[in-house]
This record gives sequence, C-alpha cells and structure tokens, in this order.
Amino acid sequence: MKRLCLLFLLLGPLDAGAQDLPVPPEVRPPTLEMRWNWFRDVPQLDADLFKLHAGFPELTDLEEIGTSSEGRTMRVLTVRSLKRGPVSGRPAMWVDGNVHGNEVQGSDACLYLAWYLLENYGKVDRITELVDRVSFYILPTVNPDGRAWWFNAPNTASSSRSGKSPRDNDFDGLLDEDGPNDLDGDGELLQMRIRDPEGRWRVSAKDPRLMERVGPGEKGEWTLLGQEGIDDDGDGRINEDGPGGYDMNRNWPSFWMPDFIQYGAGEYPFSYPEPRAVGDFILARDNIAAVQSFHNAGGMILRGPGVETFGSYPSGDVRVYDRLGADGEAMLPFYRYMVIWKDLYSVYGGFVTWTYEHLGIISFTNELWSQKRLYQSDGPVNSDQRMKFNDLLRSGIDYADWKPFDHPQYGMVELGGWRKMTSRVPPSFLIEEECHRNALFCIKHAEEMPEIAWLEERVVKTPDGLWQVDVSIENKRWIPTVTELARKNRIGEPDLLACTGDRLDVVLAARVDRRLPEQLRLLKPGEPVAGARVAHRSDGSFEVLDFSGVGHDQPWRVRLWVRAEEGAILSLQYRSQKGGSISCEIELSTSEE
Amino acid sequence: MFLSGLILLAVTGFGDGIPLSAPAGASGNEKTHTESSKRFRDEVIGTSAGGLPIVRTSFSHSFSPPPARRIALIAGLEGDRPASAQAAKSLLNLLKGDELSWLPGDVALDVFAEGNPDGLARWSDITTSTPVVVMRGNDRPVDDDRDRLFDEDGPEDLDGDGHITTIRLPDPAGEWTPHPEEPRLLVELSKDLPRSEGRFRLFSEGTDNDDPESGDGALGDGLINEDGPGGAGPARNFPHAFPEHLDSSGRHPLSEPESRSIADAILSEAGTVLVIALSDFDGVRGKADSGNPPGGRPRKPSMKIDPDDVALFKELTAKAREHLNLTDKESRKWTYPGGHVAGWAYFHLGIPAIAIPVRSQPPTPEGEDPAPPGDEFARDRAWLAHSDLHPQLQGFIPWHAIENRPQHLEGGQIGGFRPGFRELLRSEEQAAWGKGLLNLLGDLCAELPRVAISALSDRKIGDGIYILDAWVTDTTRWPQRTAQARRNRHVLPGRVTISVDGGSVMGQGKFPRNLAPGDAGGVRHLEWIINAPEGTRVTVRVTTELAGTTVAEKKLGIRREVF
Repeated sequence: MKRLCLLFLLLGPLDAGAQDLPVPPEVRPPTLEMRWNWFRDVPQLDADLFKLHAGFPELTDLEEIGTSSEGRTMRVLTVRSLKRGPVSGRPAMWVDGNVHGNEVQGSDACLYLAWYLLENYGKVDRITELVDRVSFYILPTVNPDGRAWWFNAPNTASSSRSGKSPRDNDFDGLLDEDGPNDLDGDGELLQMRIRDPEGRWRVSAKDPRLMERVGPGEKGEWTLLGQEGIDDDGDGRINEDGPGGYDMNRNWPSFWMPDFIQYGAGEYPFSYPEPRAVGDFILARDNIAAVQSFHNAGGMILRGPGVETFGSYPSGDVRVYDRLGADGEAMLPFYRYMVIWKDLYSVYGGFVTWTYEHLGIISFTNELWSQKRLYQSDGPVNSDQRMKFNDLLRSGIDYADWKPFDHPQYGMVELGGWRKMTSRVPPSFLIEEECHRNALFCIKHAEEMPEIAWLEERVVKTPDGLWQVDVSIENKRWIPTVTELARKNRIGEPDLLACTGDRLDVVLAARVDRRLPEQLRLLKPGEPVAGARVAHRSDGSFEVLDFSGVGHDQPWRVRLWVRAEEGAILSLQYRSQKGGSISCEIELSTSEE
Repeated sequence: MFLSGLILLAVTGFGDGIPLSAPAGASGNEKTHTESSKRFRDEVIGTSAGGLPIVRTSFSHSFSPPPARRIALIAGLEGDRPASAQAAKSLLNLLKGDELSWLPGDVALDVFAEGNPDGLARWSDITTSTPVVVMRGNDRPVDDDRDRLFDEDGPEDLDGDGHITTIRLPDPAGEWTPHPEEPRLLVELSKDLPRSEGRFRLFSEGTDNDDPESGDGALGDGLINEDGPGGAGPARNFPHAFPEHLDSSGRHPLSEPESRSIADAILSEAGTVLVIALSDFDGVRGKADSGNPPGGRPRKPSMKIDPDDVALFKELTAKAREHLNLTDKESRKWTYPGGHVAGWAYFHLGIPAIAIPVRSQPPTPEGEDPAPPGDEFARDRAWLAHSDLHPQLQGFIPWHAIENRPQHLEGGQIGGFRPGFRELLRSEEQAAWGKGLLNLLGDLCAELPRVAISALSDRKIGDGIYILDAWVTDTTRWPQRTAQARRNRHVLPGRVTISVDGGSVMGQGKFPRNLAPGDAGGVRHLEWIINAPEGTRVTVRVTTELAGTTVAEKKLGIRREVF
C-alpha cells in the first residue's frame, strides 16, 4: 500500500508565520493601539469594530446581521485566516455579549478577544495556529438599544437590562408610561429615602453615608423608597412600567415558556428582532462548534440545563463541560463553574441552553466580574467594605451623598446612594484583566473544538481478490465532532466518509471495535448499525454516514472492502459539520512502501 | 394556485370537486360586488417557504377605525389534508356575497384559508398529467434521512398511470395484511384478526432513488421514499407544547414563515375573541380533558382545559357539532396536540379556541348508517363501495404487479386509493361546510361577550357634592375572559375612566383590577364622589379588550339617565 498523499484540505499546519522567538507583549508596541481601561458606548464600540476590521482586513470580515428595535445596526466581526480554505468548512466559535443592556463589559471582552487574536496572529504560535484552524464570529452587543440607554440616560447598575420595544408591564393598556425619573436633573438615577419614625432603616453608626437595617424590636428612622421616580400615570404606583421591560435572554427556543411562566419571555421565541438576527445567523452556520456569551455579574461560568425539568445533560458532554469549566475556574479568579438551574435560578428560553439543547453546541455563559476580585477576599462583601474600597481605590466617586428633594407625591425625601458604575462592572484599572482572562477562556474553549486527522490506513488483499482497507480517524480535541446530545436527538448532519475512485467499487463496510478489532459490525444501507449506515450514490461513490462522530480518545475505525485492479486509487474524504474536513488518497497495491 | 387547480378540477370532471371561488356577486350584480368589496379585504401577510403569498381575508362592516375585536378562522395548515382549506374557501365565497348582518359592528372576521400554500399547491396537479406528490409541510427542504442530501428520495409514479398510490410488498416481517372480508383493503396485524393472504409492507409508490442503478436494487441507501419534497410544516409549529427535534414540526416554534405570519397577524391585532381552527384534529367531539394546573409557580403551560372554562368549551363544541353535522358518539378525552394553533391560542393567549376536523366522508347509501367516527376500516370500506359504484371516478386503483421493477420491489404490487379521492371534499360537502360554518359564525357572534352600563345615577350628599353610581353589566352569557386568560395575564382587564366637565372626582370606590363582571350576566357596581355644580356633564367609559367599549353620560342632579 502506498499513501500517495495525506492532504489536509482545511486542517493541519501550513505556513504558520510564527517567529523563532516570540516577543512578549510587554516589550513590543501593539500593531493596533486600543485602550482596555474604559467602557465604550454604542458609537465607540462600532468605531472600534471598524478600526479592527480596517487594521486587519485580511483576517476579518465585518457584516451587518440585523437591526435592533430602535434601528441600531448589529455587526458581527469574523476573525479568520483564509490560508486553509473558506470559513464555512472549518469549526467556528460564536462569542457575544451584552444581551442585557446594563451588562456592558461583555462587549469589551468580545472586542478584546478579537483584538487579542488579531494582534497576536503571526506573532504567537498558539494564536496563529488557532486562527488558521478555526473561526470566531463575534457580536459585541446583542442589545445595542439597552446599552445605549444605559450609557446615555440616568440609570442604576441594574437598570436598562431590557431591549427597548415598548411593553405594558403593569397590565394597564399603556406602554412604558411610568419609568424612573431623574428628579433633580443631575443625570443620575439614585435611591430615595424618606424620614419615617416607623421605618426599618437608620443611618449606619460606622459611616453616616450608609444605611443599615434595624434589628427586631428596634426603631428606625428612614424608609427606603426605591429608585428615583414619581407616579407618572396616577395609578398609585411608582416606576412600575419603565422603558422596555422584558428579557431577551428568555426569548430563545429551547424550553421557551410564555410570559406568565417566564417573565420577559416575549410573545414567542425570536419575537424580538435582536435574538432573531442572532438566531438566523447561527442557524445558517452549522460549523459553529462552541458558544460563549458574556453577561455580568457574580463571577460564574454557567452551563445548562436552565430548568430542572430538562433533566440531565448526557454524561459524555458533561465531561467536556467539566474539563472546560475546571480550566475556567483556574483562569478566572473568584469565578465558579455552575449549572444554571441548580446553582443560580431557573431560566426558560435562555441563549446558551438553546445553542446546546437545540443545536448540540458546547456553550457557556460567563457572568463577568466578581467584587471579590476588588477586595481580594472570598468572603461575603458588606457595605462597609464597599465604602472603604470606594474611598481608598476609587477616590469616593462611586457613592452619591444624600441630598434633600421635594417629591411631588411623598413630600420631602432624600436622594443618594451607589452610582451606576459600581458593583456589576469592574473599575477601570481591572477592566483589562477581566477582558483578558475571559478572552483567553474563549480561546481555550475554541482550541477544544474538534480537530480530526487520519490516524492510520492499512490495505490488505484478501484471498477472494478484494482489497480490505482499514481506516481510522482521530479527534485531537475534547469536543466530539457530534456531541452526545446531538446524536441522541438527531441534531444536524452525521459525519460522512465519502469513498470514490476510478475503476473501483466499494462493496462493503464495517465498523471496527477499538478493543476487539476482529469483532466487526457490518454496515448496511437503510438500517443503522451502532449509529452508522452506508449508501451507494448515483455518482458511483460509496458513503459511510455515522451519527456517533469522533470523540476525544475514541478513534473512529472502519473497514472497507473494495473491488479494484492493482494500483487503483481510493479517494477518501471525511466530512464533519463541526470538525471540518480531511482527505487522502490510497493506492491499492500489494507493494509496500 | 390551489384555487385554480380546483376550478379546473370541476371543469374537467376529474374527481368530484366544485369551483371554490365563484366571484363575489356571482350573479353578475355589480352593485353587490362593490358593496362586498367594502366589507372585505384581502391582505398578504407573508410569503411561504416556497414563495407563495399567505393571505388573510378580513370581513367587517367597517375597517376605519379598525374593528376593536376579531375572530380568527385558520385552515389549510396541513398540506396533505386539503379539505379544511376547501371548507374555508367555500365559506369565503358565501361571505363575499353576504350582508354580514350577523357580525357585530365592532368585530372583524379574519379568515386564513390557506395556511400552507406550498402544501396545498401540490393538489393543483390533480387536474394535470403530473401526479400529485402529497406533502404535509411547506417547500423548505429538509434532510429527513440525515444523509446530507435534501429531498432526494420522494415518491414516484412507477406505473405511469398519473397517480402516486401505494405499494404493497410481501414481507414476512410486514405489519399489514389483507382484511379477510375485503382483501383489497389492508389492515394492521392484530391479535383479533385472522391471518389472511400473508403479510406486507406498505409505502407510497416509489423506489430507492439513492440507487445508482435503478433496476438492481442491491445498492442505494436501502430506503424508499424516505426523503421526499419539503418537510417542515406549519401545522405543528406553534409554541404551545412544541414537539422538539421533530423535522415535521420545524426547527423551533414559529420557525416556518406560514405559522409565524399567522401568529404575528393574530398578535398584532388586539381583541381576538375567538379562534376557529379547521384541521385534521378533532377537538369538538368527545370531552375536553380538563384539570387544574399544579399549585405553585407554573413550570409549563397546562395541557388540560381549565375547569372554569369547561362550560364554555362544551357550548362552543356543541354549536360546532350542531351546525357542521358532526355526530358525537365518542367518549374520548382530548387535548390539543403539541404545536397546534388552537392549543397555542387557548393555553398561551387565553382565547377560546375550537379545532374542527374537516374530512370528506364517503357517501352513505340510503338506509345505511355512516361509518362511525374513528373506525377507519369501515370508512375505507364505504369509500371502496363508492368507488365501485362510480368506476369513472377511479377512486380505487386495483392492485397490480409492478412492471420493469427494480430488484428491491420484487413481488410488489401497486394499488389503493387515488390521491384526492378521499382527501378532497365533494361539491355538496364543500357547499355544506361553507353554509355550516356561516351559520356557526352567526350563532357564535350572537354570544360574544358584551359589556354595557346598565344604569348610571347620582345622589346629592352636600352642596355640589354627589355620589355617582354606575352598574356595569355583561349582557351576554359567555365570560369576557377565560380562566386561562386571567391566569396568563394576556387579556387586559376592563378599565373605567370618568370625565367631569368643570368639576373634579374627590374619590372613588376601590375598583378591582378585573373590573368587568366575569360571569355571564354579572353586574358590578362602581361609585365616585364628585365635586361639581348641578347640571355638570359626567361621562363614564368602560373599555374591555374582548367585550367591547361602552360609554354613558349624565348631568349631575338631573334625573334622566342617558345611555
């Protein structure tokens, strides 16, 4: 047998462009200077996307994928090299951020990931090899309207989570008629407190800026009234129907439930334009083999299921999740690897549960930023500690002192408290670290997307004149070419070994057991055997279709029987939706080489 | 497309169909036509996967301002069951020539007659020499057999008779056997049935198209007709209990343009009071499965009708049976199948929804009882008798050997019912469905909830101080909101506003959030304290989403009540 050539169509090292001695970033000026100690509003984010694309045109595509409720353009930056063929034929990772408008640092982490890949391509072997092998689809903000509102309007750290399609949250037939109000016109949305001899709060004895709850039997002096606002519609309630008022991360199809079960879910999956744009993009690209979504906050690496009623994920896939989760915990200080419903709360219709449960893609949500990083302590965080770090490390800018205000409904109140750029987002001096660690977690995840390679080919001529060809293929990475859930639910297409050649006829195929190589499982047309079946095509080719795919440490082995003359060439191509494609040609010959 | 096919059908006399869309004012009376066109409008609400228009035809006395309430009638979602679209088309023809005297002034009727134009368009081939390739879904290709090829192995007319019927292939493991009393019909093997002429596999007429050497049959992928045209369909593509990971249901709820267009059309209009789905699912005979959802925070929508809505469903379904001549001898319990439009309307939106099964029935000779519902063998036997009686209809193609057969069809025979013979309504059936539906709609519209201010009075309690009393009454027998709608918070509660010309409202009673009386015929008392001089005009407006709007006014201190 002679292997004429082992031709990696899309995989395998080519000209990596790596240098002998990588120059560490600490001592070399970047090709494209970008700041990583601030948060960008929507125009600035767009501008930097264009800047990256303009700076690395040979490594990026920038495309519009949709329009938000308020008409903002959603742009995906694709990072790829075309050295090994088109993007569609190789594994790809989807990365997004900021589906909740206030969770802003996810966008910067997305942008940082793109910048890091581009900046280090051709300089760092690991990155060059990765970008040559896989692609990244990066959408920095899924919710540009919510982001814009958070930056441009008075808000708290937690407000402007929603998109901006008007909703009737209080069920009175009116839309967005009673949101918070910046009462004193200072551009901030703070807390309101009112003197109340029966109140449950008092000024802290340790720090007069802080409030503390009184104990049982004690008398307070203040009642906290919530966010700044008035009763705009005269219904006796304050701030009960603000802008938007839904949750785009409950608008995805897997285990989607209507609003009365899952708040904010929308009328149906993909009913909001932003999730629909993302859904259309992802559904059109079956090569996506990894998904990462960035949120804030709390320091979490989350995976599904989102709800208990889903049951458990298949054990083989959980092993992959666990390995990546463990690496994530090592890379991200004060982050914990968690299951959404079990360790956080139930989420129906979430994004990463959709991409795994419907599309079979290993998917994570990271809740970026834990205040423990600021305080360098794993214990619980209290207000005194927050104030101390506000004074020492933030020069006091995160807290607004209380000041009086004559409220039209409550009378004299006071406005003050924590400002929006706190608690859920890192301070400027830690933004780059947060972005870097999360981007490198993505890179680790991307590295583990399937990479298939020929492991062995062996040709023997049988006494009855047929050629017996043993072929085995390995996957060098953790993520299988077909996840266990995808196999179980017939998600996507099976892997395919196409056998072609002039003057030859593949007559039979069998799966070969790794441990018992003589125990063959003959494959038949029509009826799957161990997830695999064969087909003769009208062009004369022979195909083995296998839904079991190629897992890590589980080489895929098949034996073919071929009727052919001595010296005929058997062409093999193994195609996997999520693992790319490899080809080789084998000469059917008794002469050894 | 479907429409023109059926017109041709009547002209050619093939089958037993009738022209469905005689133009409105078919008598040639131009005036009638003009008036009708003011009362209805066709609107393209979307485009099917295959590029055909999805049309909503709306009827109302006036479209400006837009009607406050709407009834939706949806048909033709199942491409392989054209009868429901035929029934809806027959209704449309009647409506276009109707004065709509039965339709309340604030109500529009929206008819989505061809919910799946791609699937229905297949039936237009019935008038041509091209065999009808029946397709339940739309034209979006689906790789049904997961071999990376799309729609590569569908049925074919092997014997060239212009029809795709059935192949029966002898197979020791087959699950079908000729019925001992009528061997032309095959029935599934069961313990109760004596073995007759052996066992067969049954499938649509066709070969293994993956076979590169048709005639050999040893190759190919070993499957016959496993990946025919289209695949995903709108009929089970709605969000309630959506069947996941089923190609025929679509990739996700409302993934198909047809179902999404219909859902968007319904959601975009406030005040849909009733949904009527004509489909293959029978939700009018037997009993609606009812039960309270589990306590606590719900984790998924119930599959059972709320007990408080059962009476309403009983009445709705009884009316449907009465007007559509659907006998009810069944005791089965039913609930909507996953992904069905009626289930979505009721369980997610809280709208009363009835699913009416539309099927052609074999003519019953005088003196004989019709085949009981659910007895498919009796039904097919009656069809066979009809075919035998009218051989020109070619209703049943006798079993015959396959000539020039490929190896994998060795011993097989082609035969069975001609497509369309059982699926398409005959002209008299079509007319009866149209008339029955029109009568049903008239009957239902008379019962639509309606609020009124039945009394408005005042009492003077001081100088320029009055108590104003209003009684809001539901004048009909059906609830304004189903129990499911209250649970879902999908239908707004009624709202009351008061305006006082030149005075002020000092206080008001504590209005419940669900102002309007929920029970049929219920009354709710409201009161306000008003500071205004005698003779001041006071206007009270009650607005509900599903029971209309009513306004009453009076002058303070003046006894006469004005409504």
